[in-house]
Amino acid sequence: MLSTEDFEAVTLTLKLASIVTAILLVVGTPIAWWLAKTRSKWKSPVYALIAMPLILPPSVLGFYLLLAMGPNGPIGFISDILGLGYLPFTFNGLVMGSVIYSIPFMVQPLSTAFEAIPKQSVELAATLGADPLDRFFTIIIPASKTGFLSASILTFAHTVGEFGVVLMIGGSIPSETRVVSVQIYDHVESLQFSNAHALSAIIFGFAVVVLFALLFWQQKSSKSYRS
Amino acid sequence: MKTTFLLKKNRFTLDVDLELADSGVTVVFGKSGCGKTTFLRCIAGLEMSAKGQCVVNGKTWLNDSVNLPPHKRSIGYVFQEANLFNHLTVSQNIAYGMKRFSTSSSDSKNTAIDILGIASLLARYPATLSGGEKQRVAIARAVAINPQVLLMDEPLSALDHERKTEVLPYLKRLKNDLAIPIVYVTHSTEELAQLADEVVFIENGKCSKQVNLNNADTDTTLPIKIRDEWKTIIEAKVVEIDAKWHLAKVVFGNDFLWIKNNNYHLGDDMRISVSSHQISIALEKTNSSFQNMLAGVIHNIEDDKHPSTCLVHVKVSERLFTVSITKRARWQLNLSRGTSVIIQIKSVLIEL
Repeated sequence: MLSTEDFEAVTLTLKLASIVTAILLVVGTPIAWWLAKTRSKWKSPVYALIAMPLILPPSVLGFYLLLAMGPNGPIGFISDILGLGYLPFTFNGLVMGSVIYSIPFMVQPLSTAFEAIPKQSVELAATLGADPLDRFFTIIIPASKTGFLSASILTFAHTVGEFGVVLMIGGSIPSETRVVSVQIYDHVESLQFSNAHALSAIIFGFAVVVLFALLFWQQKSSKSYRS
Repeated sequence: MKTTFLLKKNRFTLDVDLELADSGVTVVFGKSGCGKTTFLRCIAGLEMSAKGQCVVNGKTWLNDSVNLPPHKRSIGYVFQEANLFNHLTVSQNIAYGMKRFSTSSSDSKNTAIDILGIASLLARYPATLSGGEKQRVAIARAVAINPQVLLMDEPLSALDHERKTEVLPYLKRLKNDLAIPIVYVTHSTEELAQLADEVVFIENGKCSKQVNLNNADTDTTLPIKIRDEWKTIIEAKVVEIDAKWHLAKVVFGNDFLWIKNNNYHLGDDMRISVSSHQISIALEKTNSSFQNMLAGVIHNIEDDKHPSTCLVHVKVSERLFTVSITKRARWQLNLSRGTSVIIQIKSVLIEL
């Protein structure tokens, strides 16, 4: 059922989602920690900024990113200096756009998980000789395991499903920027409904699996809280 | 142990300057919100904005130029809640602190496990333990690092009465078997009576009184006043068990008392606290329901808070018992300093 191009689109999508999830785990964790613990007056503005992709139409976000990454934009200026060239219509550009677009899906569940960790258990680890970094890796990460899991699943799934931002800054270059959602769109545009059916079914199945996995883990963690 | 702290938090100020004993149990006693927990947190370094001086066993943890973070202070801290790490087994919980402190050793670990009686729990996860067991593990985890000082913040207050009576004996063993000084925060007079060698009373962020209970024979400030009641705290030993009436005979000095037998064994050492409201005075032994009649001499008499009452301090076997009576009774019995009297204590009322 699937053509070579369809396979390429699936592989590219999985690659993109994995890279974006990995980057956001590294970038999002400190931001989420800061949001969960800070009393700074900057908390609300930063929170709002992080949540922006939830509200903004993806095409609007994609449009601004396209401008920013272009030869006259600030991101373009920097990427040019760094020797990366201009990012629009490249895989790297897609990664960057997806990171920004998916950031609330990583930061919000993580920050909720961090807020739920009792202050005392962290203080206790300190009295047992653990320095702040040690406490983070030995107490905070294990205690927010479910948070990390749901944040990663949500980020991954959300990146797989994105369309507007990708189309704006990536276009539809095979093996470079043509992800599954764009491929489905192209199939429909060219009236190849059977191909669109096959790919859509894959994504549909994926979504069902993700939702059930999330529910399963959330139930499991709420059970372990009660015991 | 030198502890001088000044800490302002919102509208509350902690301002104490205390020299605490380098061994035994110092009970920090006060109502909730008086600052006793904050004082303990200052020693631990958990209140990093505290100013002052903290010197433990010759090592400076806090002064004008030094302020060690908690993980650099050699402390064992026990919170109200056990706060075990749920993702680790009991054994791993204990190992967590030991790995990070060079003062710990397999000796200190075995001592902790022995004293708290948790050898059979080592492989289990915290979720499978009872409240009392969890708290015992939490205490063992703090003891195992062999710290310079053990800080305990109301370790029994989150437990129900049954669990309390389960854990309290372990705390007594800790006090007897461990050379590490213990600072023990509580608002329970029962725990104070059972554990304290020294008591620091905290009121509104300040120390109102510091009493050494081991000087009971010489110190005339004893009995100690706790919440409008005067308490005489006596070390006593069980010498006889009356199986028929479920009573135990305990001796102190040249005198003895009959108390309710709560599974005591011959030779058990214990502390008994007798409150001023539980004692009456007579001039001679009478035929009454009082199970304990002790001969003593009035040491002195002073006014009580209410104009109708006075406090009579009676010396029995070198211990002072304080009795609260009305002034009219004093006049009727013609009591004055040096009068020989009998103090009567209901056995059922001796608290443990």
